[in-house]
Amino acid sequence: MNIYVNDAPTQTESNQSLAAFLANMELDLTKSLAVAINDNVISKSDWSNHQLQAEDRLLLIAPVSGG
Amino acid sequence: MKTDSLTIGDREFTSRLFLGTGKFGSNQLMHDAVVAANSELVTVALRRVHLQEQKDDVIAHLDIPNVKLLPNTSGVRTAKEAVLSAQLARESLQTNLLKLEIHPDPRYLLPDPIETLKATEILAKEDFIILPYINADPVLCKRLEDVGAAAVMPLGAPIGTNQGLQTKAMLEIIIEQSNVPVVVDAGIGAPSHAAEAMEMGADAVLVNTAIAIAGDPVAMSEAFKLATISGRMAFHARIGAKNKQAQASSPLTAFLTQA
Repeated sequence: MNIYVNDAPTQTESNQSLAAFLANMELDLTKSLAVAINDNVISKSDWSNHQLQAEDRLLLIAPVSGG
Repeated sequence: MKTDSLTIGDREFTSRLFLGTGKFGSNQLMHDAVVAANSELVTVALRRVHLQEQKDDVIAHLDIPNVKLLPNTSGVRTAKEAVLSAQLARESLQTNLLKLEIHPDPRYLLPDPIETLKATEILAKEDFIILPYINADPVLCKRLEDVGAAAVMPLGAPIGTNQGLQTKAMLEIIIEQSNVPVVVDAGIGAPSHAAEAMEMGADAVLVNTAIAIAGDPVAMSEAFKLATISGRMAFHARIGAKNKQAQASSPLTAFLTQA
C-alpha cells in the first residue's frame, strides 16, 4: 500500500504496525523520535498497537540544534 | 544569602542565562558553551528526520546535569502548525516546556503576534508551560499573560542581528507591567547587552548567536554568565539616578587654603 513519509510517497506492506514500519526503516528509536499520522501525534507507547492505513501521512520529527 | 531563583510555570532556575543551541561549529562546542554558561535551560528545534542520512544526535550532547531542554516551534507559520509542533515536541522530549516561535518572514524573522496569541490560548488549555517569543509589545504581553503564558519573551532586536536592546523603551514598559517573568530573547549581541537587560529588571535573557559565532564561544559564554549575574546584582543594589548636571565627588573648596 502507499503511504507518505515526510511527504515522500512510500510503498509498504499492509497490516503493519507503526512500530514494525519504523523498525524496517532502521531508524534509531531511542533518538527522541516523535511521530504524527494525519496530524495526530502517536505516543511511543501506542506504536506497536497502531496499524498503518493506506494513504496515511506520516510525519517523523526529531530534535536538532536551534535558538 | 536570600535565594534569587526564577520560577517559570513549576520549574525553578538558579541561572538567569538561557542558551540557544544553534549555529555552533560543532556539538562539542555547543556542549562546552552550555557548561561554561552554567545555564539550566537550553532551546532545541525540531525537524523532519532524514531517512537516508541521520544527523549527529544533539540531545546526547545536551545530557548535562541541571540542564532542561526547551523545544521551540521554529519553522511553523501558523497557530495550527504550532499546535502540532508543540504536541510533537512534548512527545519527543517528554516535557511540557515550550518556546512558542512563529515567524513566517525569513528576512527579519519577526514573530507573528496574532498566530502566537491564538496558539498560546490553545496550548495553555493543553497544559503546556508556554514561553512565547514576540516583539516587544507591552499590550501583546498582557494579552498573552491573560490567556495563560507562563512567561513572555520579547525581542531586543531581530534574531541573529546582535544589535542589542533596540526595543529598550518598550522592554521597560513590559518589565514594569508584567506579572509573569520577562525573558529578553533575540538580538543580544554582547555581554554588556545582557547586563543592560538584567539591570533594567528583566528576569532572564536568552542568548544564542552572540555566543555561537564568537571567536571563542566557550569564553564568550562565560563572559555572558558573569554579565547576567552582574546585571542582576546591580538591579538588586538599585542603580543611582542619572543627572544632567555634575555632582562633585570631593568637597568644592579652594586647594589647601580652605577647610
